[in-house]
Amino acid sequence: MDPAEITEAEPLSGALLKINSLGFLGMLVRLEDELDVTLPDNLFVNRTFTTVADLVDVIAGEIE
Amino acid sequence: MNVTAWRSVLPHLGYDLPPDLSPPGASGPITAQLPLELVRQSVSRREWWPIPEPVAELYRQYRPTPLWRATRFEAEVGARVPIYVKYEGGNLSGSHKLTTRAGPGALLQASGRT
Repeated sequence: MDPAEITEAEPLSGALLKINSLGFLGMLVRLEDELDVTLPDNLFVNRTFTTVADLVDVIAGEIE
Repeated sequence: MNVTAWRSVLPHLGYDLPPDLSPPGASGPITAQLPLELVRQSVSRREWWPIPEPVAELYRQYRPTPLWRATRFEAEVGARVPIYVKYEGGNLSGSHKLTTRAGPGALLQASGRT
């Protein structure tokens, strides 16, 4: 899958990406390694993630 | 003996775990109920993880408990990782459940969940 084909409006749990909650968290851990950051454990309490943009926003907010 | 770290078997597997798959037709928003630290320990290839102090304090109340390496069992099943057997019937609850749930419980509490 070409990352360029994935828009920020793409559903995380949809026909294309099919990400579930455990896969989502595993992806975050890999992002930590890629970006050399440590995300706070309470970052996801009481939050829901629907699209790629939701994920981008929360990660960008932590590394800025 | 004070135990200060958990040891992960993942670096010994020699392969990556397969991706977690959603059931067919699954959709909708994703919520993250597990603390990231627990996920780190479940997917990373790092071998040693420091034990949170509240868990270490709990362990000190009833440990050490008998532990031995099951070398003959390892040979019988062709194990690629060392297999240890630990008797947990002498702890506070008389069950392994206290030991296996104390760690995740502490990580959940540290992540703001109650």
